[in-house]
Amino acid sequence: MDDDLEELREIFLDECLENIELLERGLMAMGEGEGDADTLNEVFRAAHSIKGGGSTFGFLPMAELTHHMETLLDEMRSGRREVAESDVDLLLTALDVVQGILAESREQGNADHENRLAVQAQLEAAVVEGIADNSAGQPETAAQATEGSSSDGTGEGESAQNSWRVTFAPNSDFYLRGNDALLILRELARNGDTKLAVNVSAMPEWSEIDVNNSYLSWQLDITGASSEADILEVFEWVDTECSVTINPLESNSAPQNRSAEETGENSPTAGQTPPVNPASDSEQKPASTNNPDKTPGGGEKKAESAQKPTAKVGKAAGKSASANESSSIRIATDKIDQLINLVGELVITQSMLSRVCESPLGIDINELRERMAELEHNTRDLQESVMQVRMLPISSAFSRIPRLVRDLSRKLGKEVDLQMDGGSTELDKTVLERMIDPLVHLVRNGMDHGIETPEERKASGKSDVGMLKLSARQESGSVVIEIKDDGKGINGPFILAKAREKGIVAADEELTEDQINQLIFAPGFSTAAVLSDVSGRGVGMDVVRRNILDLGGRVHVYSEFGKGTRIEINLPLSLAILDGQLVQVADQVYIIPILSIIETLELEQTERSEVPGTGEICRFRGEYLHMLRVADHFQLTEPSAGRLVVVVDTHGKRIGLVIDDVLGQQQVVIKPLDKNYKSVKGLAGATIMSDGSVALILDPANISEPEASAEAA
Amino acid sequence: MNTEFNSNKDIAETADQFLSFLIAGEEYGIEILKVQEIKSWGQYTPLPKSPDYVLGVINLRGAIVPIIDLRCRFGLPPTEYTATTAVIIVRNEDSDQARIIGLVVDSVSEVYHLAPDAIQEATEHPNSQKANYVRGFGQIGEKLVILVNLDPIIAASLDQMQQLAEAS
Repeated sequence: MDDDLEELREIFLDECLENIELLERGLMAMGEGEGDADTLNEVFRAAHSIKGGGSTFGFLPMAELTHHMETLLDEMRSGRREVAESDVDLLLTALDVVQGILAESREQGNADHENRLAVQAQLEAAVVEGIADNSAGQPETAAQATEGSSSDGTGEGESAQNSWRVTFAPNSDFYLRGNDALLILRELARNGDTKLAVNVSAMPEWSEIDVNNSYLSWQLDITGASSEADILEVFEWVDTECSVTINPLESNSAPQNRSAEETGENSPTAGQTPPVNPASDSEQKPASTNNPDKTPGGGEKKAESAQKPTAKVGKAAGKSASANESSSIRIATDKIDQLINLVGELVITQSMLSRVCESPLGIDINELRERMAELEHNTRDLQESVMQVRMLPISSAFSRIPRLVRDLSRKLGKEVDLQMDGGSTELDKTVLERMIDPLVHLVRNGMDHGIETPEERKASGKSDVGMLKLSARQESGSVVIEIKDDGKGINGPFILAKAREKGIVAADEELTEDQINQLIFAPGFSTAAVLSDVSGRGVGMDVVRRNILDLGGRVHVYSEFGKGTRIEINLPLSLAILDGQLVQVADQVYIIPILSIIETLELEQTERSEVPGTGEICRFRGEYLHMLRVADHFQLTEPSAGRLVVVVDTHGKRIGLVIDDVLGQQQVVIKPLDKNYKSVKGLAGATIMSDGSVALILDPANISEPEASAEAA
Repeated sequence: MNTEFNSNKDIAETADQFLSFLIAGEEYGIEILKVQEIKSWGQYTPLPKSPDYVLGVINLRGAIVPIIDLRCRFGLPPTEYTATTAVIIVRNEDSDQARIIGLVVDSVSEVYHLAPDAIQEATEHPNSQKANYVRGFGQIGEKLVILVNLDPIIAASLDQMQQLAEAS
């Protein structure tokens, strides 16, 4: 049972992430004035799902906050309120907080609850304000109300004393459906002073009582600060299983705020709403929808932290970026259907094959060949489809960029036109997830260092709106992501001077222009004069490069001073499969990743020389390469001819691997060695060849690392 | 209820069963619950930069499994691999990770049932850490079976590998 709930919770959390993305996208569109009624509805629904799920699964802070977001959104949806930019900002801020809570519940961070209360108070204030604007007749009371609710969520309690008479009559199968009247009554009692009367008139004779049925109904008189909506909310999940009426008592001084959502849309099954006597909703009156019980003593803190919400939100957003690595994956149904189809075909082919083999007339070799060809075809299709399951469109990583750019352009006072291209390019899920942080960093960096302020831009004759372009495309076996800006570019001499100052580059070392550009990725390198929370600590770019290299990718910077910068990231399509070149060394077959191979030469044709201390080197296109005899390096016992040199490139360093022969090329599935053993230096893993034997995959990146000590060991 | 009881008894029974194998004429035993399967000796891919007792890796239905030559591990002189040479695939669970490792032995012998009182616990050897590798001695009639403590053997092999990797 607990496991079931745990599983549902996981699903809810996953859905939450999607809803948050949806909300963010919708809100961004609204902020730019592009949101139509559909967008608004979509946003509203997303907020509502989070709220509903949040309260079901016990994420009360989340439910509470989204409830307030929903209230504000409903005001907009019903047309009572214009979509103002400030409201969108506020909602986005609130969304960050929701994300923080989500991260916390996934144990990936801590939510800032103080901040949440502040944002909640702001939301309430915004609702109140909006209504005040509409009811121009009573500006004074509205202003007072605003003050009251922003400084203290419960402040309105006194003025809005309401009394309600609630009758609650569960249907006879109420308990059978797993509900508990007691819980509902208890929840109702939280809304204020409650007088309870029970109606036993429906009770049958003792002899006829069915203990599973519900015969009682209750009448409650509630006096307190709660609105009708608050009371209705208690019945939110049982409204089809009981009948409820809510009437104001005669002493009810304040008319109530009844938003449409609470009467209709809010119930999970709209249309089957219990009969509710419409309260006197002729007039809109601000009412605190905040339940005082849920925020004990929050009043002062709210007022205090309401002053500095933005700074904290920045933090929350930063945290949530890394918190999104979920271990589950949502797959489009058609991808799964395709898999099922293919497996079906595979089974058919297999049974055909066995029929051929079992034929009493002996094996028909031609038919066997035909079936084998079919099998090969099926297997390849199946492999491709299975790989597809792990592929996700890069737009899911791109989707968080508009928000980032929007926030940064505000903060930095720079106007930026963001363009995104190729969002449908698909990437392996792991690669994609690990690319999010580097992407965010690069965009941030481009905004901070690359693009100039409007004044600077005008001075240098550019349009005052900067251009930032993100694009993704597939190029044979890899995906290329490009981040391009038309900012000031990299100031080569300045960078070089800075690098010399920091000791990254020796004073007498001369660098090519390209090498200087790559310096921005050097650890500890930063040119920002002032540390800001946007960038300047010189950690980011180093991490960006490392992340990309870890994924087996490459990153390169192209820049023209004064014109702009272009950063190109090359990523492998998948981590699990690589294109390999099979090579023979002595009696062994090894695999070298094709991506890292530059050229293969005949050993005899190279100029070689022995350098004491460093070993053998050879000349390759005017460059001296270290040579590594694979057979000696791996201490193979069989004799090795060492006929060819494969020149491999690893992170800009080239070495020559001496091998015997090149065999075919093949896509291989990488199997880690450390699953049952340890990882071995110089090996990226192993794979299984078509004959069932194991072949080792060389890792050019670390095969050449100090081998003198390795041999000693 | 009844079946549950039976299966518990089964487990209790298998718990003191041992698979025995021969290395250089000596009979050794390992707990049968650790044994996943027994494979005949076949092709393997040598693994570079490994201790000499790690022969290499094999393909076990798609998994890459290292094989350790126990003869070499025990410091005995090498011998020819023959038709009786077998690879005992064992599952070793250490610190929440299950590893599958193949042990190359001269031949697989029998399965013995050893009651706890038929096992004489190994005493600590005065000047050798190797005593750690021996769990005890099982008496079967006139025969003596050396019960091997697998965990330290494998762990030590891996540790040594680790050191090797770090040193290089």
